[in-house]
Amino acid sequence: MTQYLLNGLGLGAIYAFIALGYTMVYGIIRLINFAHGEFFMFGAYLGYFVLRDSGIDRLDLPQPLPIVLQYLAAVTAASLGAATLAVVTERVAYRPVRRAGRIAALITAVCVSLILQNLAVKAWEAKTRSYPDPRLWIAVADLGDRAPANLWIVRPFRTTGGDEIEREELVLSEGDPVDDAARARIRGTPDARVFKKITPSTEVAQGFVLLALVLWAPVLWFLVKRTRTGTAMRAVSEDMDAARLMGIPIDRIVSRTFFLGAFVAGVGGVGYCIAYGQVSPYTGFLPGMKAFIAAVIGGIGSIPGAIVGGILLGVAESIIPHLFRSELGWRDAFAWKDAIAFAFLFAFLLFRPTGLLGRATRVKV
Amino acid sequence: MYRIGRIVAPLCIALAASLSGCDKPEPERMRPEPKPTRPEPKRMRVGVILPMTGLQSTFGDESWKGMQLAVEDLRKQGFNPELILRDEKSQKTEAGNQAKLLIENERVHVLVGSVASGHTRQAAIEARESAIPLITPASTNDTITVEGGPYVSRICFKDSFQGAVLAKFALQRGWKSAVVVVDKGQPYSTGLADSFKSVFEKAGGKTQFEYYTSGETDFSNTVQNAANHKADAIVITGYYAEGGIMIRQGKEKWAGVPVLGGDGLDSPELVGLVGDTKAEIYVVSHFAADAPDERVRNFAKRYEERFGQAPGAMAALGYDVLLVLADVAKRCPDPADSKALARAIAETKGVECITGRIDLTTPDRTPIKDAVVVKVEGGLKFQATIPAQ
Repeated sequence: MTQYLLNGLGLGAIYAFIALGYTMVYGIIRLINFAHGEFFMFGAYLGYFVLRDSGIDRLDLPQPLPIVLQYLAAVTAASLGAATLAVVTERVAYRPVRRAGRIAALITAVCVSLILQNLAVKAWEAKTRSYPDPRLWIAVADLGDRAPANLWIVRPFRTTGGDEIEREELVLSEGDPVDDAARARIRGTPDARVFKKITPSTEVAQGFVLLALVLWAPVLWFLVKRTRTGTAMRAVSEDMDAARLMGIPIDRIVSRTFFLGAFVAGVGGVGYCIAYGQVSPYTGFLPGMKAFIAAVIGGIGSIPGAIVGGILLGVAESIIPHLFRSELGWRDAFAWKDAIAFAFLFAFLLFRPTGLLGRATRVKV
Repeated sequence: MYRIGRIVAPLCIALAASLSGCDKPEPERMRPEPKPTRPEPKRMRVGVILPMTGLQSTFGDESWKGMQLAVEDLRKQGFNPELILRDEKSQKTEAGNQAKLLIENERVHVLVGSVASGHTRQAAIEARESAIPLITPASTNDTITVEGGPYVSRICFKDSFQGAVLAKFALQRGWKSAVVVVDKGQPYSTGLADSFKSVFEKAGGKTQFEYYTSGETDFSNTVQNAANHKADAIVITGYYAEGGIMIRQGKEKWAGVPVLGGDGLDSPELVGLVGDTKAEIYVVSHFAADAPDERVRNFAKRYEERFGQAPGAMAALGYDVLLVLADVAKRCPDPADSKALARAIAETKGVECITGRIDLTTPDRTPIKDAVVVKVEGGLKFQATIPAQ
């Protein structure tokens, strides 16, 4: 049970990350931005290229600095890339139709989502790519008589599919005597370096996403509540025309909202792909859809609501099928987990159509 | 705010319905006017339906490369078919649509494809309706050729055999209990799981089933459920995109438990997808590039020279399907006569192919061939041949 709860929390944190962008954009211009999942996917791809091409063990720095730098670089590239894409999308696609009514904007959003997805297929092929694992490599200079830890050789390797990956092989397990055969094997492998390896599990990766959420939430709260831009956002959200009359540059504020929302989605994108080990052009679709639902559950337009809604949805998706399985004996409950979770959310909306933290009368950012 | 809830609630139902795996019929497309038939009837027009993009793209890519190589070889022997490739995008309905378009617009004489059984089934329905023969290079689900009637045949073994091979291999290794992880959305997966179970349990083994649906990315709960059974082995009957990621996510929880899979896992992508798991992974397949067989070695060498990568099972099957067609063309001078063509296909006997000798004279037009077991070790490495009898 605890295990299912933890899995749900990890997934929920990712939904929350994406839901934040939905909720902020909706809060300010009442647009359900269906292309948000694609911003997430775009960020995940940028992170993938940084992680793949930067090569952890090529940096001659004391561990764990290289891996920290590498992941910071990946997350920064992902979030800045996603944010830039969002700003461009807003300028090109959403701004011209902002005054044309909500249906026009909604249709535009669906179109943009499909266009971006297909562009990703064109640019990066419609295949599932394996996401680089986060690993800690500790270089071992002196082997000594007995191996101090699991020792691995790392060398470049080309898969039969033609992708260049780094492949590592276990040379010696902890405590093995260092014999001539092992030494010969290390020397005989060109470009090989010997490392001690620590691989965090999926749970650790999920834990990092949760941690990032805990760190991010106050930053967002601060941005929205305590900065000039944040105050302007709230003003635009309450009454766009009045805000314009008060001299608030509406276009710039909307642009910044998109930037912020997609920036957070980029962080979530890298986290999601590290936790589940893959990226494809369709990566953004289902999480994006679910994050939208999460934003609605939490009360769309409310930032704390998006976080609560995301966590709730993630946990529901994990716990409810588990309960169906253990209590009702539905052996294949996990194959229907999406249907079960969505049915639950549907029932929830029947009783509270404004979401958990949403208000029927007032609209918050 | 109130309105949003009213919009979203029905949206949720729609989503739930579409995600629960029921196939909604696609609205019928506008059909352009059929083009007039070509003047030269002797050249065989072959409509090829393969997943070139999407979650099964390596299946399509490899099969198509195998076919290209075969056409280059067969041209020298005077068989020069015209291949028309259509992408089914790893979607079931698209396989049916493309079959229809190939039959009606391109006037193909025979259809070849697809790979995943659920997708081939859609194409086979179109083939049966239009009485155009279809040969699938790699769909193993037992019912495909039965449902499709005399117009549908295949050149690979079927799942009741493949399941038995999996079971025999597991028993040989001394594994007494197995968790079977099944893709609920794919007939290939459920069929293979059932045939594994019946053979494995008859021999005294114990099986437990766990389920997922193709297209998922988060398998943490599936992995957990499977690990809870503490079985001797884990059998994944799905396709490589999900199977590979599942093995990767099972890095810790499945540590020390061997993983076994069917030909759906046989993809050059698998090695990259499983990541740095230490699990022993065995895959039952049609072909291994490094098997000790002269003909296989030759094919692997030429394929590698031509495409710069080692061939997988789909490449070999793609090659073989054209060898069979070349043999059929000798016995059927006019491919436009679809009845005669279907009969000629069903009379195929003793064609020596890369994946073995192909006889389609069996009642369900399925050859009886050997299977191989490969192990995932930086690539797919030959382990054993399991004979057909």
